[in-house]
Amino acid sequence: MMRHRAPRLAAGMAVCALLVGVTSCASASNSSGAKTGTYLQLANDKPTWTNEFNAIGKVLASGGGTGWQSNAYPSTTAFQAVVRTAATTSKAPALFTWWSGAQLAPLVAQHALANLTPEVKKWEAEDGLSPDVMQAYEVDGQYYGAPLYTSDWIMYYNKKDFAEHHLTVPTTWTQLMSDASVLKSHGIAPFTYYDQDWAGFIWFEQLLVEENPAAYQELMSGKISYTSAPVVAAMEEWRTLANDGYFSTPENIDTATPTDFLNGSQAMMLIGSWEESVLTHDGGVPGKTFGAFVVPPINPKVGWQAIFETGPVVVAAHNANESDAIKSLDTFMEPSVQAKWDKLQDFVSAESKVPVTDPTALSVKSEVGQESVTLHNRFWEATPPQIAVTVSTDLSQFILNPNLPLTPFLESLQKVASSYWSSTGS
Amino acid sequence: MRHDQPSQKRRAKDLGRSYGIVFTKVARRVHRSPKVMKEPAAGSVRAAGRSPDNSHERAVREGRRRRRRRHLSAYYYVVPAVILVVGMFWYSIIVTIEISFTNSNGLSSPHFAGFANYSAILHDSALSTNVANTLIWAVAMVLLPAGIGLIAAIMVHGKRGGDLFRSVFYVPYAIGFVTTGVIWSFLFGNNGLSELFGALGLHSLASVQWLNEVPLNTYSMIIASTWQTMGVDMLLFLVGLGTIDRAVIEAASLDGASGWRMFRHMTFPLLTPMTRVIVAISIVNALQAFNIIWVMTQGGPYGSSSTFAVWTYQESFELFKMGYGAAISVVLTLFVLIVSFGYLRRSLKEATA
Repeated sequence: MMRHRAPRLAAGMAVCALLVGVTSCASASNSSGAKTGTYLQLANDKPTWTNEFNAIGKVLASGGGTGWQSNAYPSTTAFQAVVRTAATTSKAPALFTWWSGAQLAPLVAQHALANLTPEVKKWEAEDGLSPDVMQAYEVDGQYYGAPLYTSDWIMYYNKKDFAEHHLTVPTTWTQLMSDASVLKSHGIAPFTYYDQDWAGFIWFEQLLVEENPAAYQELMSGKISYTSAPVVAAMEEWRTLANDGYFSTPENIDTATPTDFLNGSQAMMLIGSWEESVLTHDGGVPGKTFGAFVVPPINPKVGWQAIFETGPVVVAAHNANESDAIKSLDTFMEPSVQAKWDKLQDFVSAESKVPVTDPTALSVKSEVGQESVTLHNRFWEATPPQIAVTVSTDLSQFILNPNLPLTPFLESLQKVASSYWSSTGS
Repeated sequence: MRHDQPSQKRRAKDLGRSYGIVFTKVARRVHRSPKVMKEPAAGSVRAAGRSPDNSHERAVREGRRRRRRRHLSAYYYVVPAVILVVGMFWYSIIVTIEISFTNSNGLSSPHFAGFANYSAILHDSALSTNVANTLIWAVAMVLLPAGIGLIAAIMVHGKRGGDLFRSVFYVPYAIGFVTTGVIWSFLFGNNGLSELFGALGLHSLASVQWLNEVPLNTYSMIIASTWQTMGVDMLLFLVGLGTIDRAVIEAASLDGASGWRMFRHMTFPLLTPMTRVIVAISIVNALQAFNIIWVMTQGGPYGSSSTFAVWTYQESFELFKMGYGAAISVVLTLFVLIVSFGYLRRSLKEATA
């Protein structure tokens, strides 16, 4: 009967439509590493950089080279999960962004990344690529990534606050402390402070590096313990700053806005230079509302130190287009292309041959002058994530209660570290 | 048409032990209004004794066959959903259970680890915090949104301007959990409520660190989550209130019941099916509290506001201990199943008693 066939027909069509939809979805997803024309897929977790990636990708493809096409994942977690499962297979994306330092090691151990040491040596020799920065991409003496961006951790300061209280950019730690006490006496919180999520390591790494940079490096690689003297000294310095009331009330670094810094109720902000785009977006003018300086060393004998963070583009070793991908990286690292990339993103290149145009970076350079600044990879990448994540969250305890008993606290941090180092046998 | 109703009721029963039971029971209650005439069950004709010639039985069998053909076409509509559920849901569960018995880190090939992950959970120092927070969330998110939603529903029901209030209370749910989390993070931050209290002169309240003090941070997030979900519960209770027979209420008020007595002895018992649904859903959602927590504190500071779901996420995707994270999620799932199964079993026993 007609009445019975109609529902069945409709049901059958519904099933067909669903199957068509599912299969078309599957085929529409980007096949990683497939060459469409002369473009390779650059998998990344930075969807806000898509336009810039595609623009520089076109520059790379001009003149018959191999270009980049951004394949962005909306969440870091999804991106990492996809890359980790695909990394050792032929389905790995030809190029992808990743993290430096200890986050490279697991991929390298699985032979998932192309060894870029010959190219890196060439870039260091010909284009002035900074060996300090490249330290972040070294695993067992070999290099596995090309720097996509490099951000220094500097101290932004509110120019109005400094001018009103007749303060100048400090070149010594003592001057920084006296500046802070002047600001505090006028009811201004000298330093911004964050405590949630990953923010626990910010002051920890800075104070340790300004006191004893060699100890910082050794702590990151597990050669010294969290209970050793240099770490205790840094923690005690941190406690003094907190008890002197130099920090603002801690906020969540992921949701906080720099309102208080820009309106002057907080005077100084220790943060990565990537924050500058947030400051300008919220109404700050670089050079007028705010400036920046390198944090002076606590121990003047060690010279200028700074924390930096860098993120690479890496090449998958198992992808069929590996050699083309490496060639595209080679083009990317040419000074002329680096200058274009910096212009697109307001970045500063890691190559000395690329002229610096960012005004904050220029003012920071002029502060340091002829002296060199030793760069250290930031805590989050310098030490394995199994330690970095837990220690950072535990340091929030110290931020909220700087007078907690120090020895058992540091012993608990060391427990986390030694359980990792002993399990990997290094 | 009228012959279909008894078989519909029977088919509902045949769905067996699933959460569908609760919903079909609600459906039956909702439809039990004086206007629908009670139909004799199809089988009762047989029970009454054989007819002299088989004509009646043949007619019944014909009718059953016709209904089965129509039911068969209904299954075609169900098949795609079943494929999706089986494929994505059950397959993921089985793979997760598999991973929980390995030392997988998502990158290198996993090795079988037996029950090592499960015993590690028992020895983890974070276990007590996570259990405590998960239970706090469960109790609070069952009582608060439902309680406030019920009060709001009673106040709004049948009143003029009820539509406006319904929208006002529902909007927080419509804006999604991320927006809610961001709004309340601002309110609980240094520039939100603290400034308001400071301006009002309530300095002791202004200095409270809503998201940093333990266990205040969990309670603050519960406030945000209640603000968001109470709208849904209010709407469901309004539906429930709308199905209560006016005749029954009028009879009770004629007997002299009003106000609190009316609510306690008439309205609330008549709302029981809807309450059961809401509580069952709230239990399941509350035990898995993740969204708001992740947006507002990421389980911090120092893991103090973490629940089982947040713990799973951190172990799996931040520390890349996928085997361990999978084991935690299996433990959570078992707990949710036991609690919700126990609750539904008890409440259905009461319903059919």
